[in-house]
Amino acid sequence: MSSADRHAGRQRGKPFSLAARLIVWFVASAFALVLIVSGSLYWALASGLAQVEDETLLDKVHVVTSLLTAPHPDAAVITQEIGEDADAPRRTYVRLLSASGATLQETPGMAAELPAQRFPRVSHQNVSLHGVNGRPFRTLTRALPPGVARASNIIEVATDVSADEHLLARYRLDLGVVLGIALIACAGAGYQIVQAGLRPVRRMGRAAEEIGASTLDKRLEVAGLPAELRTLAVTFNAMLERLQQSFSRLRQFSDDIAHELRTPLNRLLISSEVALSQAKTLAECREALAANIDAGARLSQMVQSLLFLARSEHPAAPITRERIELDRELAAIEEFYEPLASEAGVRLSVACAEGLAAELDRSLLQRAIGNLVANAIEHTPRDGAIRIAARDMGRSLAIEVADTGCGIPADHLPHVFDRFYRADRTRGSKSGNLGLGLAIVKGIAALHGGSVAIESAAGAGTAITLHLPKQGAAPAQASA
Amino acid sequence: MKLLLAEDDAKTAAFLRTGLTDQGFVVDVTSDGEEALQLALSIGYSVLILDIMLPERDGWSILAGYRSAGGQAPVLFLTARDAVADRVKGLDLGADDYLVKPFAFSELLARVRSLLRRRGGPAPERAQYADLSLDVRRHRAMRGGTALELTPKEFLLLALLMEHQGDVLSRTLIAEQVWDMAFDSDSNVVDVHIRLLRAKVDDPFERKLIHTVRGLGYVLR
Repeated sequence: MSSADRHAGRQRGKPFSLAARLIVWFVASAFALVLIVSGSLYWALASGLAQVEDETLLDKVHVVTSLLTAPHPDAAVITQEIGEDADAPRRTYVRLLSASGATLQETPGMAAELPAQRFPRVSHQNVSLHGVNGRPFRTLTRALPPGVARASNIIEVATDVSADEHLLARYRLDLGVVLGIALIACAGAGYQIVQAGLRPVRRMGRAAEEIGASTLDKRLEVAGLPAELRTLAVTFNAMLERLQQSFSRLRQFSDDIAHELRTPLNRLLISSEVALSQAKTLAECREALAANIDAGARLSQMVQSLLFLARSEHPAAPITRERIELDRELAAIEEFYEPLASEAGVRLSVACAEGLAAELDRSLLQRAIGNLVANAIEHTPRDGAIRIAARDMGRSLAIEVADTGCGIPADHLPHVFDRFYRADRTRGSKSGNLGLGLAIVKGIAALHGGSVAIESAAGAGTAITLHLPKQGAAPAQASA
Repeated sequence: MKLLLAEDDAKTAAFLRTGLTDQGFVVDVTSDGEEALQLALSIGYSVLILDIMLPERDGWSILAGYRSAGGQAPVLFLTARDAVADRVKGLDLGADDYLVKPFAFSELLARVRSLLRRRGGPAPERAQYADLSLDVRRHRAMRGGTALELTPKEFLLLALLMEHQGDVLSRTLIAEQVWDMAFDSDSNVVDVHIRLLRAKVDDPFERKLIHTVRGLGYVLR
């Protein structure tokens, strides 16, 4: 298994689609909310009920206490008060204890249900406990003020809360059912919402899936997309646009290579074939061979140029820099091209500050300037002028080749540095121009870590400027 | 004049051997790098022509072995790769010249002759062909008793043709030797220079000395 596979495997092992993750989070948070709401409702009910019971107990304590502390306590009233509700299904029990803990008086049946020892000690807190028969009670134990009738010392009251318990149990059951339903509803709603929310993403994915090398002209539908996805779709479309352009350039490029190769190859084949089958004289054979050499030289030159361009695209391609004195170098180039220019009736001149020097690859520089000058001569009509000028720009230098030629229409300008690009396709090949010259100039600029710029106005002339750093990047930077 | 040609493509080797033999050279051909080194060290060749890509031992290694054993003959590299690093490596190792494939046979011939001449000491001060004579030191050219008014570069061009009289010189070689333009210019600049030279050297005279060889270049004969 390759490392790429392992990597993919790990990616696949990373679980959960976006949808699943959203659903889980949605359900968890919605359900938690429902849970909190029902829990607090339950708590409010339970504490409300407890409060009612506690008030009943306190009330009883107060009533009995005030009866006992009356100036002339009435035993019958006290007994009635203690025995009150004795027959009702919901019972309140009262017991009076002496200081020693002996029962002085109690609600009938209380001893059987809630013996004194079950009660907690004197406290201001209400306490919940279960009676002998398992019935739930709420209780309160209080000390009586000193000197009350019958030497009563402690009062114990209890009230049966089984009805409350039943109510709460019922409520809990109802809540359980409601929560169960809520959970299912949350899950269903979450699923629907997430699916609906992600639908544009899925649609986009499907649309993107349909785009391949042969359908690069397709674009994602941007209208109707949510804002977040619109940015993504616009970015994606921009990427497609760039891809399409690169693809069509590449296709155009290979078409051009095939075409340019075919012409000389065809010539080569035909002249050889004709010579072999028809040539009678030595002169005819020589003529055919000369034609073959022409065609072969053209092929060879093209292959060399293409190889050069391919290499120049490699960022680490080495060049051999040496110190170049620009005024001398440009003067030499002028001297070389001068006859060609004067034959075309064009004035060639050089303007360069004395002493301007830089570390450049000499043969590449000659080739770049030579290409530009040859190009300018070809496109400048009689009585025109071509000026080669070098300027010091501090860390870099600018070498401009400007002509007063026919100029290049604005719509061709972005492409003139493309390989095989000729503004006038029918005219180019007559002069043996392959349309690689300017591409090579650009490649040479790139090899030096520089750039090339063009300015042109139709009818007014063209100026192409090479911007070259005076020195190569430091080795550490070059290898980075 | 004995030459060693180490080239592993049999057809190329055969063509080159025929061409060089026709020019009066004695040529030993081998396709094996190891054998090339042994031959170079045992026989006194005037020039070694080495392909870089060879079985057993590449051109660089042959050159290094040859030079370290004290071999003095000039070495011309043939290479299919014109990557700058390759060239620099070859020249650093002591190669005298290189040719990038594909090349024209006339180009190879001219370069081999140049190498032989370079080893043969300084160029002669005077050159003579037919009724044309050059005084190299004074930069003066005479034809049939008439002084020719030549610019310095025209004189250099004529001197180059004279030096290689009978050999066809390619446009690339001419541009390189006369103008120091070390690139394969695809324009017809050299043709224009030759035309200007002809106007002075040939046009006023009956017998034409500078000839165009179609597809190859120019020759003085």
